[in-house]
Amino acid sequence: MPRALEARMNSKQEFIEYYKGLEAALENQNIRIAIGRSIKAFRGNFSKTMAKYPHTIKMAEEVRVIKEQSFTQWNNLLKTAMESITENHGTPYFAQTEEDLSKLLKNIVGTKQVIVKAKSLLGEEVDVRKKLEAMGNTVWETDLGELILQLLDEPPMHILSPAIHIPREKVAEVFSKAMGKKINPDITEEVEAARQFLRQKFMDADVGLSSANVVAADTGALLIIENEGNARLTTGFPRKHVVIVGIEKLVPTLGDAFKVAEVTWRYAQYGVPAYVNMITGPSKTGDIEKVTTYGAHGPKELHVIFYDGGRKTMMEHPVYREAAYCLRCGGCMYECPVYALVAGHFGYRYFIGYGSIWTNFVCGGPEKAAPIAYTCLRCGRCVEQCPVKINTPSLVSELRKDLVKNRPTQWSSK
Amino acid sequence: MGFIPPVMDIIKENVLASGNPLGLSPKLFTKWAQGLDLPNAGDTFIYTGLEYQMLPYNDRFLDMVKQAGAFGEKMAIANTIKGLFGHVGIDLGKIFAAAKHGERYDAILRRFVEVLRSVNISPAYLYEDEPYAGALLYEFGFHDELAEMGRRIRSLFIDKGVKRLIVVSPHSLEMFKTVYPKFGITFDMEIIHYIQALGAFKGGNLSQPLDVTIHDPCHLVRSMGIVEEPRNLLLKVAGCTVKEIPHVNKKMTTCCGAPIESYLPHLGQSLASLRLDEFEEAGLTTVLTLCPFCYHNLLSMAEHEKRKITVREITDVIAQGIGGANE
Repeated sequence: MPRALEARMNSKQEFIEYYKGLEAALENQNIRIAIGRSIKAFRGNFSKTMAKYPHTIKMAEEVRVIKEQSFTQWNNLLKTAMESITENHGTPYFAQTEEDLSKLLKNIVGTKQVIVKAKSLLGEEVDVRKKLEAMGNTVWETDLGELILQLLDEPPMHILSPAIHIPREKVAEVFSKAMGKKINPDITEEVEAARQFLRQKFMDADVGLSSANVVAADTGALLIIENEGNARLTTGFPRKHVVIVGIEKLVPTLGDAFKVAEVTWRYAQYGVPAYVNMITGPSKTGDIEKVTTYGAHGPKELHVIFYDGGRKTMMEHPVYREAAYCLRCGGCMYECPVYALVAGHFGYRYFIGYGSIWTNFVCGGPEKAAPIAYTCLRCGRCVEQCPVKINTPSLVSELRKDLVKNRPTQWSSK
Repeated sequence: MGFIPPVMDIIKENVLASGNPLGLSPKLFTKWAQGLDLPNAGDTFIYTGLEYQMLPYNDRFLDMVKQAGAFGEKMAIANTIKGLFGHVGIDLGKIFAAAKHGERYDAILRRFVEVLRSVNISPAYLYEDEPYAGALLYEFGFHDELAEMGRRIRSLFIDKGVKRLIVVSPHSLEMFKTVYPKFGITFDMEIIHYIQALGAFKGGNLSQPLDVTIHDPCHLVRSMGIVEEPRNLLLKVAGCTVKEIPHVNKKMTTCCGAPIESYLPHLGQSLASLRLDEFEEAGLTTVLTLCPFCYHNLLSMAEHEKRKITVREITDVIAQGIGGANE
């Protein structure tokens, strides 16, 4: 079979399979009910939060400018950040491709290690848990939603609330099986069960793996926003802390980073999150004779891997770079009409309209991105919700233009 | 490489060969204007964009696409074979026979003229010269074809001496106002949505009090920024009360599902249904539209699901207020 024809067959199959997934999701009443409730809760919380902290809107405009300016000098920021991290006794790395990232992880983590992992969208992008397991390690997701999905062996359906589509009854069933005792479909009991289940795993883990919401180049500071406290334990308990973070997360200063963080959690509906972890280096003490010694109560080693994986191409493109401004607040998903019906089935690792740009550049390529781009309504309601005003209708239009231009065979009669 | 649903090629080929997305005969598009004595020359033109006229044939076309499998693949292949013999387009005979509620859509266009005349605007009409604006080509990503089309439309408008264009569809309006300019094609004339042309509307009176709600079209509110104009018009109609749907109104309006219906029909219908749920949950039963596709999608779904929701085009209420032509 000629290669172009084969490529077309494969991409057509991809589209058909994707649409089957959408059709199944449309028939799934659980999704409709669960997402419907989440949307209602989100809108209520969000308007309360914004009424209490109205300055956030102005700050979001500032953040957009910070992002724009950071992208024009991302390689300088990367250099500065790596120098800062080295100065802080951490070890910085740069991984250009997914293979580079795998190699680095293998060297840093090794094999037969127990790893506790905090939530990471980049982790989902490169399927880091499966990668580390394939290297002979044991990995535990410590975010409650991610743990549920790990036990179910299912992909996430939302970037902040990955198990948004799973009702408490299902959680009870999965937990009972995994934990070897009866867990009732009671949310408090389920949360307690997860706490008990993971407690010893935090203590025993050799490595903690996390990402970061934003990185300040001037100080090498990594900010991690969270509510559960699992990221604190993940990044604080094991002897080794490994961070994987996309180069689009770099901003010039710590002041900038705090603005990005505040806008992120605010648009994620929170007045304040329970925790904002700031990590600049390994744990240290100078309490005995003022001799700095590393690895007091926290990690002895901090490894920070900056990852490109297609981001650079997106960040340097005159149109597509807007998609990379995304702060991952997840607010757009609650306002996407298609998402309300099919949840994360409208996406591949990244979700909804703007996500098709990410899928196209960093995971899956045009085959996976095409059906997502053509599912977007280009209705623009996500733009109204977006703190940095990512113009999804324009981005999707650009991607469709490129998809048409680059498709394997013309169907038309001309 | 990415797969493009073949129905998009069918629509593109139809636009290029017949001047409209469904490949229909140009005669069908002017039928509505019979008896209105619209001049074919003047400064101010009404522009239909062929959209309301296409809608009676829309569902049958989508059925055919669905039956052709894999997003219209067999149809596209048939088109390709026909194309080799110099004939492009889908089987028009079948589609003609299946026109549904044609009068309903023609009546809307006629009412636009009535209402415009009531505010002393007597528009001219381009009849069979009126071009399609190209919105679907833009939606689908056929940008190369679009630039050529835009230049042709501009020349035509200039030749016909168009000074002011009153557009009845948000999608066509957006093409002229923001899309074609991105391709370097600008229209040096006044181009407005019909709701903006009714500023001089003096008001009217409904015989029965009526609560209505506006289904804002996505492109009209977000891209064109036309939010308060329709509300202000309805304020002038005594007996008519505009009820807002909480949160999902104005710039947060919910899509009716039309943009993706030609290749993801099940999703498109579910979206229309979701929108009707929103109105129902808010206890709103009379929904007014300002876009041909919103009108068609919401109305079809409301009828199909036997909802207790009435979907009307906004000028229906305005015309009643002034005692103008009713359906």
